Amino acid sequence: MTMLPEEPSAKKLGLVIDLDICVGCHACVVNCKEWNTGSEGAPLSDVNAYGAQQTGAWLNRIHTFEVKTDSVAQVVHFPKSCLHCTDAPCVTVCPTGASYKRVDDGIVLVNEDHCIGCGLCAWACPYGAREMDPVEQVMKKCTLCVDRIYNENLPEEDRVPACVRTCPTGARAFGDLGDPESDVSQSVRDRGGFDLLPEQETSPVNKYLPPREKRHLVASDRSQPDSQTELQSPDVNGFWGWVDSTLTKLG
Amino acid sequence: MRPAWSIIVFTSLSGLGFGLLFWFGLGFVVINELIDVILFTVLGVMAVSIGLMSSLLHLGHPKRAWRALSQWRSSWLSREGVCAVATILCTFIYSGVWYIYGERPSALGLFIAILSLLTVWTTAMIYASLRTVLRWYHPLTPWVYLALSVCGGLITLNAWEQIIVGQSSLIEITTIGLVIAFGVKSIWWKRAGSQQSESTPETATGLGSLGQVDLLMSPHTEENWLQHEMGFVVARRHVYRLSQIAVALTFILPLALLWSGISWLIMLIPIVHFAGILIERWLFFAEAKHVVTLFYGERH
Repeated sequence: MTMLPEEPSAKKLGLVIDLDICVGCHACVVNCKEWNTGSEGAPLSDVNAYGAQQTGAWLNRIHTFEVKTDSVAQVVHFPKSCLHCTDAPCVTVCPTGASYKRVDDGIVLVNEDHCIGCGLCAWACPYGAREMDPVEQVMKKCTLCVDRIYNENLPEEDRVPACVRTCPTGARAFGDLGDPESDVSQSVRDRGGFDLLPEQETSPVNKYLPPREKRHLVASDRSQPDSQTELQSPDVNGFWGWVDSTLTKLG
Repeated sequence: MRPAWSIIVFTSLSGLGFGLLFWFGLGFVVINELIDVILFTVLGVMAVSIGLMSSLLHLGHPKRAWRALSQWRSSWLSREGVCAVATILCTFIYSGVWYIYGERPSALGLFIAILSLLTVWTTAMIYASLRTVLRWYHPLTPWVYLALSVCGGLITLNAWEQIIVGQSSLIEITTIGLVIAFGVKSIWWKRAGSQQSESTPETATGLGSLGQVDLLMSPHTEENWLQHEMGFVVARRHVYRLSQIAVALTFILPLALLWSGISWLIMLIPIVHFAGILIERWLFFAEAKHVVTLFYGERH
């Protein structure tokens, strides 16, 4: 059912990502891919994986941003996966009922057997958390490793999402953000954890902890950044290339 | 947003078709003989069906499309499916009764007219309900779809009358329709296009309190599906020229041809108008920016 649960679940499983600690090693990205390509659903596929123009579905990606602070520019590695929003817009737009939010723990999932691959949920998600599988043609997203966290066949220390288990620096923490006394909730309180794109009113469960202030760095002769160079237009071939060149000629 | 042909054809052609069924339901269609009822039904339902078929091409799993009728309580796409199927079924009953008994069931006709408008509304709301695409997330968006649909129906009725009875009685009302549709679309262009986005790379990353945020490294070397689907940029260079062409074909040229008084030119208007609608719809997608591109170095 693509209606959201009438009452938000008391239990809100999710991640807290510490931007102060993440070093951008992409280990969580790789382990996420590895776990989810071999799990119960369809594999998380790639096309032309060793060719020049490879593409594929990933459930977790790391962007790297430069933040121009008052003193020096700071590099922030920024892991991003599904935030399992309380008011998930991806769920309500789904026409088939394939997308749903679990009442018990708030995890947002896709039933791949019912997904028609219309892509509307990915349009509705502001975070880019959903990607179309290029081979299966169904929507893929982070499951919060629902097949690990409740899996009694795994040793207890492995019953956390793959990205959390693999992070060498401990930048990702998993827990119940609906419980104010949980470790993750406390770290959000202590460190001033925040939501991404709060103006989209999705009430994400996942929180981010800001980078700590860098104390020993002093700006020395900070030169002005180059004036923004004009973005290079992408090369377009075929029919669109023809449209492009014809319209350019028209002025 | 990437302008996929399947979706452009879907919204344009089904919009036109439901515009036709709207006027058909209201009884505006000139009928010489009863067989014309069947002919017009085929025309309208064909436009709608080809449009809907085209939307199925967009799906990864078209065979499962029937499931899309199930979530009408929350999903505009599902509501669109339900309304479209209901309109088509009612139209078959309407035409059947009309043809067999020789008299138009006007109450059912009115119902079909309302259902047609409702379907166009639900189509537009698929886009207008997406908060992630600011340009679409505007109260005028469904009115644009509605105005263009009703106007397209009128234009086609004009051509129909020219063919069936050799003259048209709808020149004035079509003119009014074109002017209103042009007005609504122009206001939308101005208003929806000039909205300032609250969202920035700073709100996307939550790092705005530290300073200005710029993308330093993308998560991957190649363009991914998200960028392909939502980071379409080709049209932006030509937006001004393309919107001029769209306005000329959709509104100005049809107005001129409408008053030319030349029968075969009036029959041509639907084709000219529809070509304009295709460009208008192409721009509707190509000009729209998705908030996710903020994570990929864009600033809206």
